[in-house]
Amino acid sequence: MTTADSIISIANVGKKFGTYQALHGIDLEVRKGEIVTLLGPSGCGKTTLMRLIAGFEDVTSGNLRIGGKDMVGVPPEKRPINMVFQRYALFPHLDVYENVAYGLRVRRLPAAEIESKVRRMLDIVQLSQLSQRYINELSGGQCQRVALARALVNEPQVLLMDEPLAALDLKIRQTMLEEMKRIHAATGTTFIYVTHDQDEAMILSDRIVLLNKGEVVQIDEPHQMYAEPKSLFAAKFLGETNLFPVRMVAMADGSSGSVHATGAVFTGKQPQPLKEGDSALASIRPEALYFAASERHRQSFKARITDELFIGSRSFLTAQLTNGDRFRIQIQRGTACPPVSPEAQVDVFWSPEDVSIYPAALT
Amino acid sequence: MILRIFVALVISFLVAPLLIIVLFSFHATASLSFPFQGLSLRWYAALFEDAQLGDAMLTSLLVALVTAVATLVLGMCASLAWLRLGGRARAAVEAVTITPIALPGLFIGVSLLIALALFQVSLGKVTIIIAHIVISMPIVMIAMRARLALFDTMLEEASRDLGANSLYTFRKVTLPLIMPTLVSAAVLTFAISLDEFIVTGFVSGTETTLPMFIWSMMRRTVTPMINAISTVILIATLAILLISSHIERTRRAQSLRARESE
Ligand SMILES: Nc1ncnc2c1ncn2[C@@H]1O[C@H](COP(=O)(O)OP(=O)(O)OP(=O)(O)O)[C@@H](O)[C@H]1O
Ligand SMILES: [Mg+2]
Repeated sequence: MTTADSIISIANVGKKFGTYQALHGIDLEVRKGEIVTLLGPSGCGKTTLMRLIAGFEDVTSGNLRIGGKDMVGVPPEKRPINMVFQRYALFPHLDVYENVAYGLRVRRLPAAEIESKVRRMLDIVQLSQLSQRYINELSGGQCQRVALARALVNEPQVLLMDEPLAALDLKIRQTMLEEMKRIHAATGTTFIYVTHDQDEAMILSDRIVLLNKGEVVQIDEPHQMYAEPKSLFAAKFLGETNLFPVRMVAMADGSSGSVHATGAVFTGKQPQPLKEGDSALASIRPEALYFAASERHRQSFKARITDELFIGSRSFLTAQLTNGDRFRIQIQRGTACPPVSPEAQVDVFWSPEDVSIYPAALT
Repeated sequence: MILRIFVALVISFLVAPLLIIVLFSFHATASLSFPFQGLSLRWYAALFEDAQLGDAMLTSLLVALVTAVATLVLGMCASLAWLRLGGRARAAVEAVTITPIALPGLFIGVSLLIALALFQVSLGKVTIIIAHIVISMPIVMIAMRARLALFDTMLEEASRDLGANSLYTFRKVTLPLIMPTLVSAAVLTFAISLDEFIVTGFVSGTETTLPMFIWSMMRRTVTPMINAISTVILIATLAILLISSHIERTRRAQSLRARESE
């Protein structure tokens, strides 16, 4: 399925370390200029996939092409790719300027050209003032920007970034994310970005590649993946969700639905095959639950509100069903909501469009 | 307070003998004890007049220099291998290169002598240098291992990622980072070579090194010339240390200046 504007094409790629299968059956097409994030829990193989693309490891099976060329036996220095390492890997014996100039010096560009490229790149990452500092004299955020500049100055076709923001605090992380988007817009470079922070993935990506245990679980645009996770793992990993244990039943109109221990009925998407009598989990996001019915929000059950967690712009209410199952409801600040009261029963409504039902056995 | 006194005591314990040797090298009489009876340069003059001593000193300096350079190169190669080998092979390299430190000098001397006889190598400066390299390598390897254990191989990957082949990477990243350790190991080697005595005795043939000369001189009479020789050696060693640290600093300044003129 190689398309014309595809820059990286990964087909059925597997990677073994000794007997340990770190990756298997990976299929991924990355288009020119795209920002793709690899997202997944620790140890799922994100770094390994990056290292395969960068050429630090050889694929055990399958086929990896960059710009249409097969990459078997092509060493890292011959690939049109630069990488920002998980822990920066800046050269401690060189100052900021020389770190950024390194790749250009390797290519023996004329001195004047090196000078102008490095200066421009230092401007972009706002480090011109610090060009003579050594790496141990920089803060974490500054190191991060040097690492970015050192890679970008070579104008690679693809920039790989392995959790570049992991070491930074929340505030500077947001600034860096915006900066990254700006640099992407300015350079048009293809970004492949590794993170296990779902917020980062959502903010930055054109598409998210969700990995688990060395396999691709789902590839989708952030909105799509959030709205329609194709598996229980995806639903739980991306954002928060409530899971209600249900049993599959046939509905009056012949369609397939499910029923909860309290008698509440859930119908909705079934991304994986389910048959009557299967035990399953119905998933609804906390922000998809309402206290008022509408044309869309027509399914409901009764619950008691036991607790409120206020976090500024929104609140999380903890609610309990009549059989004791707990779940969470998210409401925006200023929205009317029933008071916390262990006695009073309230109706909670939702739309079948916001429900997904997954097989219970699989994670 | 107690700590300070302790530190002061330790330092004076280490430094005092040196100062006394330096002082008495300028003594006007042959006496090696107080009271001090005036300054003179006669023992230094005697040094320069003694042709045998001069030869021994030159031999020692030459041997030490070659040994230091040789271990520098060998240490560089060994550390290259060390960084690239994994687990078991690395342990094997370590065992082979570091274990000799535990062998008695006598044993090394005898086995070297036998080996040299086997290959019919005639004894002389070359065999002394070989012996000194054998003795120094384990020490160089210990110093390098400590440094390389901290070496981030990710830096080499970063360099290759930026388009550099392995040779360029070694020259521009690996070597500059391990150079200070290599240089200090070489300086240490120089010092070891300069006063090595036991093994040298086995393989020196007709050559005489400075420690051998001093030893034979001491067996006859104890003269204040010893103080003068020791002072010269002390100053030479200090000079080497200063120069090597100075080189490092000027190199850094130079590279900064080179860039500004670009
Ligand atoms: N050189 C190696 N030898 C053996 N196993 C390895 C090697 N590199 C990685 N692995 C294993 O492969 C799996 C995936 O590792 P990888 O580093 O790709 O995870 P990751 O998704 O980047 O995790 P994290 O989010 O913690 O960085 C892990 O179980 C890891 O132990
Ligand atoms: Mg990783």
